[in-house]
Amino acid sequence: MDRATIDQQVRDLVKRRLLRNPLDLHKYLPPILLKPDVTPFTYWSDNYFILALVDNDKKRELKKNITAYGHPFPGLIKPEHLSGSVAMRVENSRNGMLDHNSTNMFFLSLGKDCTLIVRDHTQKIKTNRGVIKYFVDLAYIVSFGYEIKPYNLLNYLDDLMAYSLKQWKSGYVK
Amino acid sequence: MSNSLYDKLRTLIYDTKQREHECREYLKYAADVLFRDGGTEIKCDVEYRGHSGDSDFIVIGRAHGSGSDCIRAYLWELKAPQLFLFVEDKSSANRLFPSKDLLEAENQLLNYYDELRDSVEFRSEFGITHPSNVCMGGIIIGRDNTKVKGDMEVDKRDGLYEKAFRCRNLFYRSEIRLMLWNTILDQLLPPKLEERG
Repeated sequence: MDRATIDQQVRDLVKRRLLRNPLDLHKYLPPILLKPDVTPFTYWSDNYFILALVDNDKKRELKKNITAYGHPFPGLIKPEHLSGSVAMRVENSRNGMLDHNSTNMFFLSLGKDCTLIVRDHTQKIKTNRGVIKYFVDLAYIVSFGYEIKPYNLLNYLDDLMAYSLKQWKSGYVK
Repeated sequence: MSNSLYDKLRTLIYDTKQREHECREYLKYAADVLFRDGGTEIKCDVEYRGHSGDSDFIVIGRAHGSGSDCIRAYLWELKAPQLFLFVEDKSSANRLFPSKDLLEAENQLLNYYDELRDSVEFRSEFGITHPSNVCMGGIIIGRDNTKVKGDMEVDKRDGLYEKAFRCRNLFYRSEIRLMLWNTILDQLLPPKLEERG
């Protein structure tokens, strides 16, 4: 299945799980999901997939980042070919919730077969164009490996969204 | 940690005996993944009796329909974690065949769906106003090491499983979700909150 088809299925999934829901769910949801111009933004690498929920301003910012730095979220995930300090290493980890973090180094060294939710994250990183700082409202990250592959990405993303809803409703994560 | 829901279900899933009924007790803790929309007031009901048999597991909740909130139900069929999903196809080394247990579960789910979506009694019992809000959830069967029955190399097995999975989705699209018990297990993981940097 090609990436464009999967992207369309991801958009349908986002609508069903996160955007088109009953009113009494709204009080549990991250504020970005309640913005009228919220939209899914997807990014593919060979090793992982990112789904971010963004408003129009953030979407423009991410596109600019791709042009300037080759990645919508520079420093969020350490590229394999670069060295540098990393805040966290994850490998074969499902349903990880990374909330309210702030870092000025690479945030994640991402191993195989991970599913992660990043929310309210402040990222600062030194680039060859100077230091940049940005905020991630909500992003779902899935890394490919032995178990997770593009053909079953949608299922893992569905499970991850369901897990985030469960935790937000439980009040454990605010 | 040894007494956590996660560990208890894990023990049942990897037991050598079939533990489907005991595993079922844990589904209520993973109800959000079984209710396939963003929903609230999610409840579970087991073995709803119909003319064509008992539907294994029903998840009911408040969802958003066309323009307003509604009650929706998802029907699930359960098979033991010890069962296989696919078996070798004796007529070709390059494809798999759905296991007898998977075919049985699919047939049961289709029949219960066909009956319950048109059942006024079922819909009124749960407050469902329209047949389109009775939906197929899927089948929970097997675990990560029972995807394929057969003696073959790992790479070949994984490739054939991927092909079988894709072919099945061509037919059912995503209407019937095929779920391993490991998915339920992952939903029982505690949230791992990190300290602020």
